[in-house]
Amino acid sequence: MTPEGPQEHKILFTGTMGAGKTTAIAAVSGIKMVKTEAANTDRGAFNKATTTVGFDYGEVGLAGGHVLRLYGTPGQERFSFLWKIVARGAIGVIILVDNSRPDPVADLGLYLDNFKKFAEIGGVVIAVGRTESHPKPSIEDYYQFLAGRDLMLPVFAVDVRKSENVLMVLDVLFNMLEISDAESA
Amino acid sequence: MNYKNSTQLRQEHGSMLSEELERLTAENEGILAAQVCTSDGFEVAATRRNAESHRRLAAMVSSMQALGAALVEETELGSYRNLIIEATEGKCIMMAIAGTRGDLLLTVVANSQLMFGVFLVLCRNTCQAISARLSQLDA
Repeated sequence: MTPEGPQEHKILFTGTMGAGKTTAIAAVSGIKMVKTEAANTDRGAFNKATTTVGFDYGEVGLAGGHVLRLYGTPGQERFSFLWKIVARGAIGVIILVDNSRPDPVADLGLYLDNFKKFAEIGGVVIAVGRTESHPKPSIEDYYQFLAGRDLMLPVFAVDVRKSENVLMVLDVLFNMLEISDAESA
Repeated sequence: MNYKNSTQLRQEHGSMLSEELERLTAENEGILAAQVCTSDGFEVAATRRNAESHRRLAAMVSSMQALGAALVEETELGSYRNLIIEATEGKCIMMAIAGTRGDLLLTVVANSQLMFGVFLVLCRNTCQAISARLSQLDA
């Protein structure tokens, strides 16, 4: 990251349908969000009225005039063509995992596969939601899964409705990327 | 039209939609393919049975339609109607079908020989025909 002058950084929120990507961006965005939602006809996958089919967009202003541009992807795999497009120019990815789903660890694997280049440079933070109602798998289970893939990425239990939780995850990602930059310099 | 998933929509309206799409393509040589999908990206009816291609197309149409509608809102241009893509070898129109609250989308692909104005009218007519038949069925 260039230290001179205000910078803009693009960060992606991804994860399964209903994991809370739109909610997370709404919790911290300092501008009116851009939302691209459609009526959800697949209530079997997740029972909610609407779903993101394009992308969500919000911004977080930082000290020094820096801006984080936050993009939320659609969750369903049929939109994976868009994941690649939205990921262009991003510096890091936050993967939201819904612990109430049947196999959240496998869900994580799908997104790690699709955002592999970010995971390999340490540009991914994993945020696990709904852990209070669904404590299993545990955070330790996720670390074991990552270790099996030779990945060292941070995993947090979060409530994306709380802005402080989302800001904490963003802060961790940003610091990881700065460390990564410093190490490669 | 009340909330229905793509399977229900296919069961209830699939044959009618296929009929309208087949009519559109059969009567106009320049039209290469046509599809109706839900606004969240599920195919309901299509000409040319390439299922995988239509599944991908439905997801893309869903995204583009939503982005188009977001742009219309951002630029205060009123209500979203359709999205048009022109390429060297042809063109594509994506239209929201009236009376479905934007829940059903018509996509039509044509070659470059078909005049643009004719293409637009054909697509609008098909949208209106589908809309009219849906309202009859739901009445």
